This record gives sequence, structure tokens and C-alpha cells, in this order.
Amino acid sequence: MQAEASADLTKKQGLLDSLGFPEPSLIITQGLKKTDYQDLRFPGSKQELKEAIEKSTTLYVGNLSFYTTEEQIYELFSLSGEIKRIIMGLDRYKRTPCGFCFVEFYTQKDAHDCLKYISGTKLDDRIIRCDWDAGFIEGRQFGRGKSGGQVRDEHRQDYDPGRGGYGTL
Amino acid sequence: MPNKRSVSESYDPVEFVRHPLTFDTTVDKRYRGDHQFNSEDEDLQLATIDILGSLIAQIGEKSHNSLESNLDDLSRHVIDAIPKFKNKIMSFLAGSILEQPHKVTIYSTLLGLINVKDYEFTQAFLDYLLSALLPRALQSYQLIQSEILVRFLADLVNSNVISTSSLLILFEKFLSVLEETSPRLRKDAYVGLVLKTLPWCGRALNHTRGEELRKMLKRIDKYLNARDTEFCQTLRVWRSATDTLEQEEFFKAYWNQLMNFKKKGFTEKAILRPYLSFHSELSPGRQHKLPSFDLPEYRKEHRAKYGLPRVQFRFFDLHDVSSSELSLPPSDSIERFILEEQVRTILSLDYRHRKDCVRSLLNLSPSGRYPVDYIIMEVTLGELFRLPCPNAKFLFYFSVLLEFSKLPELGFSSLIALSFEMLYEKLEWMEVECRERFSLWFAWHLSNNSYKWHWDDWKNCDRKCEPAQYGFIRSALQKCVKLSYHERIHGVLPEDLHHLMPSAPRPCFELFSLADTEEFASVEGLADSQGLTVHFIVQFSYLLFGWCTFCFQFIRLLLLSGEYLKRLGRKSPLILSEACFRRFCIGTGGCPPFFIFHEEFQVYLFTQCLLLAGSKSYSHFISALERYMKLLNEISQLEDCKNQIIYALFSFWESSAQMLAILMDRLVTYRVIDPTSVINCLFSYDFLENHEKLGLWDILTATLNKMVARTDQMKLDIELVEGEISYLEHGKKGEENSESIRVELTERTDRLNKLYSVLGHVSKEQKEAFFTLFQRMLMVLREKNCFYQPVLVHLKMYLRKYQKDIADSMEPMEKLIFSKELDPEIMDAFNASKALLC
Repeated sequence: MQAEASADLTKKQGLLDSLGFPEPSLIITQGLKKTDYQDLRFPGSKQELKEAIEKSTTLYVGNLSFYTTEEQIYELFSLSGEIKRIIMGLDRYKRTPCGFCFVEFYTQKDAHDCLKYISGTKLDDRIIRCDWDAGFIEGRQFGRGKSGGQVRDEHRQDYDPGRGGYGTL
Repeated sequence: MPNKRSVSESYDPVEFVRHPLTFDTTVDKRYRGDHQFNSEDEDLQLATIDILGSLIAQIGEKSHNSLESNLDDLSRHVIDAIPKFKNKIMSFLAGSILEQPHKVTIYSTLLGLINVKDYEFTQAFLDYLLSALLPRALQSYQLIQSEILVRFLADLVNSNVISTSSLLILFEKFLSVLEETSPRLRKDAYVGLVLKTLPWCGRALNHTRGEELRKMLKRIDKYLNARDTEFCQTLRVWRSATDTLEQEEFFKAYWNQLMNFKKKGFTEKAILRPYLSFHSELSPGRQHKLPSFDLPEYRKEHRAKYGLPRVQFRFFDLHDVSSSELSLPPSDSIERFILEEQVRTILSLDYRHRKDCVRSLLNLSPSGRYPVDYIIMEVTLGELFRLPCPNAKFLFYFSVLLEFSKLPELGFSSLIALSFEMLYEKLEWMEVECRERFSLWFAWHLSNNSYKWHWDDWKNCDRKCEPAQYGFIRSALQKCVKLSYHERIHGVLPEDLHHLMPSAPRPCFELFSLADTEEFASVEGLADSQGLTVHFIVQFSYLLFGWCTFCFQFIRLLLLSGEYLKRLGRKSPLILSEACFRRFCIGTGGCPPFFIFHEEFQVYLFTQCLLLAGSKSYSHFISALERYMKLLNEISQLEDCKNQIIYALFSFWESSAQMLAILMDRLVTYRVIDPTSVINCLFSYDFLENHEKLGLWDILTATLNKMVARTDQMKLDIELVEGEISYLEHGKKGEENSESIRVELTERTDRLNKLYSVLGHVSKEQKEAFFTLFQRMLMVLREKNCFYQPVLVHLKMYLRKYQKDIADSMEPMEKLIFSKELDPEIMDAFNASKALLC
């Protein structure tokens, strides 16, 4: 559908423009605005980050349990389309999963559908959250917290058995 | 303390600007004649025009004032804003109509009110719809959009914007396809466009142009009766007729409803019609003539884009509704159609988030007369179970139902539980493909509800008495285990049900037991390869992975030596000399010579070692695959060895259907094995015996899906490039001969040629795969053994599901494979699926 839409884009723009008509203003069926998250370690300018996200087919998935396996993630996300690869987020020192991952699809529509239908539902009895990602680069699979895991786990006050208990700080 | 990011919701649905529905005149006071604020004047105007846009979108939703007064105010504000913001207003109106199809009567009233004061704008807007939006929607086969637009246009006769005669002229235009020699699908699509508007405009048409309406209906009736509806039997969800569930072909059922509607003089009770309250305001308006346009021509390659035919799905009966005040309209009434069509149209739109879809559904039918939640449930289930495949991904329907179940005030969870019970009871009549979707939905639902279920109810499920239910529970449990993990489900289930669970996944390396890895041991392994025995002794002292690396290099040497010997012309057993072997053996030397016979066994062993190295997790397997990709590609060139990879995989992971599915998927994606080999292997009897346990059909379906998706993607890419080429050739006038255009054109044409050649290759492979598939299936069916039922069921499923992909090869298939001596059941299925795309 996506390619079909852009194949006709050239036709469409021609048709509407030439007749002087505007595009219908779609509010609830147009695309989700892209992420608010700015990766501070992205090797490039803000503009490049924005462009990378525009054409991204990779998702960041967060709030996973440390014990969630790749096969579970594969099973859930392949409901939305064919997965190209999954990269588990690892603790920088222990090299064990630390509760996030990247899921890369072949098409942007499949990734978008995950945001629409899977983000906010449960995997392994935890509500997970999906967000656009600029694309996986080697090194991004490691947690950036001081103790090796994710930064969010450092400041966490509550006890979360799926994420190592209390926060690490 | 840093701000904790909320975990559960990061998406805020677009908050429409909350503004009272009357303009706040205090805002205007600020710059009444005040020059200081002139520069902000424009910004403020743009902001107010956006507010107006959101008001247009929100009309009809809950508010303090009545709908009539809101419409009155809104029409006045829009008329005031038209002189400056004509294009923006048109775009807001069009957008609202397209996105909120259930409010079609509200927007037609609005346009009627505008028409009274501003004739030119309405003319321009009708022009916009009929010269731009509708032709574009029809050309790009966006049937839902076209239906919404045509319904809006038809409703305009009620708000005195267009005359009934011009509407009939538009209908005549659509019905002109009946004279063409195009396939039934195209004709059905256009007839549907006309027929589906009748509930809205039927009364007005009957009142002023009764005779013409009757003639038109007669013409359509003649066409509908002349059609061949043989395909219906393959699209039915319920196999044998149960008394309350009718499953007629869509148009037949709808025609019935229309005739009942006609008998009542085209009056109905389900549609909200605000224009009735504005009768005096609307009558001064002058009627317009609809501008004409051309229908897009028929193109053979786009035959499948007109939307596949559908069969009616009925689930709830009048008695099922628990409430006493609300009652479901009877199955043959037009009210039922109106409600269902509104829900169906909403479900067919591609929302930005599932919550927006739910919100639209909740805004339906303000009249409290009907149990809308039952209609929503029935239509959603009907769409989910739609054959050959639903409009959207299964995930969409699952997540919409989940969102509904989270709204406690609606009592939707009890409705879901009721639907589940009803579906469970009727399982044995349900089409197998739909049972799979049902079990997937069940597993998804449980996964989101901590696997809470009244499992004890199923303790007595017996394989012989209730085979369908037994199979359903097993399938659902397998999916639950895939979405979580074995111990979790094991803990949740009562003991009596443990036998229904899939086995715990355990890798099974054939030649060595994993317990012996850390000792010095000489292990004798025996493998039978086509009657020849292999005597194989290895000494090792490494940790598991190091030992595997050793194996890889060892096997590589074997393969290379095999190649070398082949070139020397020796086909007989290969003897590896002691010296050669010793070179790879660290530790105590001295091992006896051995004999390796077939390449096939070498490949088998190699694949098992690869799997062992990658058995830790999915990523490990992928990195092992990628490391030895070159070697695997070499192996995949060898005809006999390809199958060994599959055999090795199945023997290693025979305990876990999930791992089998995932790893097969990777191997096919990386083109290590091709679909034809998969098909050939899977239909050997060793596999068929365990087809349930190994999840054979899932693997087969996934492989076919992947193959078909690849071809589809190629075709889309080709269309894209063709579109770009035609744009370059005809689009930019005056620049036709510039250098850059010529360069781009040549580049595009080259790419197009390359794509065509790849497409040719891919299509050929696909054709071969389907031929092999059906041949193999028919071979098994001819034997009439215990595998007859499952294979027959899946044959029907594949014939229906991949109809658009095998449409071109139906004739050769009929000659070569599906000849007349076959069972009538098989031939029926074949003919029915052939009739799908006619």
C-alpha cells in the first residue's frame, strides 16, 4: 500500500496541483508525529537525526523484563509483519539483557503498525512501549547507565522484580 | 528527582483544541481598529482558522448545546471565513468527510446551510469532490474512500444541494460498466457504489423520480441474478448450515434487505438526519448539477484490486442480546445493514492509533435504540474471520477489541466472554483457517490479561468427543507458550491440562549427548545414510564452542576433500588419512582412520553443528548463519544436499515448533533453502506424521507467504518506477527536452528493465513452487490414508488464499494437475477458487 501510495503521488500531486485544489486535511488518519526523543549520542546534526527517523524502519522497545527472550519478541512483533532483525539491549559490563531492544522491519508500514497496535499492550505481563529509532549502529545495544544498565533503572525508586529489583543507585 | 517517563502511555492522541462552540468575541476586541496589533493579526487569523477546522471535525460529538444549534453556528462561522480561506475550508470539510464517514448526514446538512448563503463555494466544493478526489480515489482503487464520497454526494439530495436527476445521472455513469466486458469484480465494485447509498437517498429518489429508480433497480437486479456465485462456498466461515447463521453472498443478502426497505416505502429508523430540522432554512438553496468525470479504464493487471467478494457473517441472534430495552434489528432489515456498514467503514480506515478508531466507534449512532456494542463485536469478528483474508492485519482487530475491553462502563469484557463461549461451542463447524485466527486472538487476549482464565472448565475435554475443541486448546496453548515461556503456562494450567501443552523446547544434537562435553571421551556415533553406515570417532577436550569450531573446520575439510576427490573422478567412499585427521586433533593423538561416505551426511552433520552453536538464542543462530553464509550458499547449489539441511533442522529442534518456525523463516529469507525444497521435504511421510507437533502447516504457510510477498513487492517497485517515468515524460511541461530529465529517464528505464528480469525469475520460481505444492498435496490425497483430512483442508485453504498469485497459471494447472478423475470435493474447491477472481 505504501509503495502504491507513492507511485500515485506523482500523479496525485500533478492532478490536485494543476486544478488548484488542496489536499484534504486528515487529522486522525494521518501518520503519527515522529518521536520526541532526541538521542544525544547520535553521530550527526539534529537535521540528520530527523531525516534518519523519517525513513526509519527500526523501533526501540522499552520496559521489557530482563528475562524476556528474543523468541517472545519475535513472536509478538511478527504479528505486524516480517522482522528483519532483533537486537537485544545488553548491560554494558555483564552483557546480559537489560530490558530494551531494537526491532527492525523491512517496511516502514509494519513498524508504524507496531506503534499503533502493540505499543501500550503487554508482553511477558509488562506493558511495553515502542518508539521510532534512527537506526541501529553498533554500540547502541549497550545501556548507558553508570552501572551498565539503562539510565531509567538507576533512578528508579520502586521494586521491580523483572528489572533487577530496586534501582541501582 | 528526574522526571520519570511514564511507561504505559507515551502517545497522546491529538487533543483537539477545546474551545467553546461559539466564537469568543472578546478576542476580536483586542485589535478592533488597533494598529499596534496588526502584525499579529495574521497569526491570530491562522490560529482561528485552525480552530475552525477542529470545530468542523468535532461537530456531532458530545457538547452542551444541541446538534442543531451547533450546526447553525458553525455554518455561519464557515460562511464568514470563506472569502479569505476558501481552500483551507474545502480541505477541512473534505478531510472530515473522509475520516468520519458515520457523520455523513451532519456534513451534508452543513453544506446545505452553506449553500443557501454561498452558491459559488458549494459549486467549487462539488467540483473539488468530483473532478479531483473521487477520480483519484477510483484510479488508485481506494474503494472505501470512493464509497464514502459517493455516499456523501448521494445524501446531498436530502439537504437540497443537488437535484435527484443529477444524482441519477451520476449513478448511470457508474452503471455504465455493466455494458463492458470487464470481470465481475469491477462491475460489482461499481454496482456496490450505487447500491450502498440507497439507505440514505432512497426515499428522496423514490419521492421525486420513482419510475427511474425502479428502472435502475430492475437493471441492477438483472445483472446480480445473472452472476455466478459459485465462489461463495469457499468463503464461508461456518461449514455446514446451522439454523441461525445465514451466509449468503453479500449482494444477495443486501438485495433482500433492500427489497424489504422498498416495501416499507424506503423509510428507515437507523440514520440520524439533522436536515429534517432545517427544512425551512434549507429550502431557499439552489440545487447544483454535478460536474461529470470519466471512470478509470479497466486494466487486467489490476484485476485483484477491486476487492475480493464477501459473504455475510452473522453471529448474534435477537435472543443473544441481554438488555431488554435494546434490540438487534432483524437480519434482513435495512437497519442492520446501515449499522453494520457504518462500523465496517470505520474499521476499514487506517487510523493513527487504535484509540482513534475506538473513539470513532463510540461516536456512532446517537439513538439509544440499538445495542451498538453487539454490532461492533459482530462486525469486528466478521472482519477478523473474513476469507480469504481480512482488510487489515489481525493485530488491528485484536488491539481494537482489547481497547474496548479496557472500558469498564461499556461492559465489553462480558460481551467478549460471551462471544468467546459462543465461538468455542461452534468450533467444529468453523473453517480451520478461522479457528487458527480465533486461537491467536485468544492467546493474545490472555497474554494481555496475565493468562487468567477459567481453565478448570476444560478439564474434561476429550479428544474423541470434541476433536475441534481439543485441537483448539492445543493450538491456543502452543501460541501462549510462544508469547511467553513454557514454565509460565505450565504454572498457570491445572494438572489435568498439562498433557495438552507443547513439549518443553530442548535441542537434540543427534550424535553426541551434551552431558559429555567436558570430559575426555571417545564417542561412537552411528548414522544411517541410505543404507550405508558411517563409523565416526572423535576425541575432544574443548569447551562446547571450541569443539564446535573444530567441527566446522573438520566438516569444511571433508567437504573440500569431497570436492577434490570428485574432480579426480572417484565416487567411492572417501578415506581420510590419519595424518590429515591428526592435524586437526589437539590433545592426545592417535585415532583410527574412518570412512565418510556421502556428501549429504556431511551437510547433515554440518547443519547440526551450526544449530548447536546457535542454540543459545535467536541472535546466536543468525550470527552463526552469517559466519558460514558462503559455505551454506555453496551447499544450496547442490541438489541432494539442500534437503539435508531441512532434515537436520527438524531432528535438532523436533521438540519445539516455535524454534523450527523461526529458524526455517531465517533460512528461507537468506535463500539458503528455496520454497520448492521446503515443500518437497515437508510432504515426506516422516514429517506428515507429526504435522501437528511440528507446526508443519504454519511453516509451509509462512514460506508461501514470504515467497508471495517478495513477488508483490517487486510488482509494486515496478509500478513505482513506471509511475515516475510517466511523470517525467508527461509531467513537467516546457522542460521536456532538458538534459537532466533525459538522464533521469534513462536511469529509471535501466532500473525498470533490471526489475523486470528479476521479476521474471522470481515469478518462475513461484509458479514452480505452487505446482509442486499442489502436485504433492494431490499425491497424498490420492492415497486416502490418515492424512487425507488435514491435507484436504489445507489444499482448499491455499487455493483460496493464494488465488491472486496462481490466477495466471490456473489453466495449465487444470490440464496437468487438477484433472477430472479427482474427488468432486477437490474439483469443487478448485472451481470455486477459480471463480473468485472472475
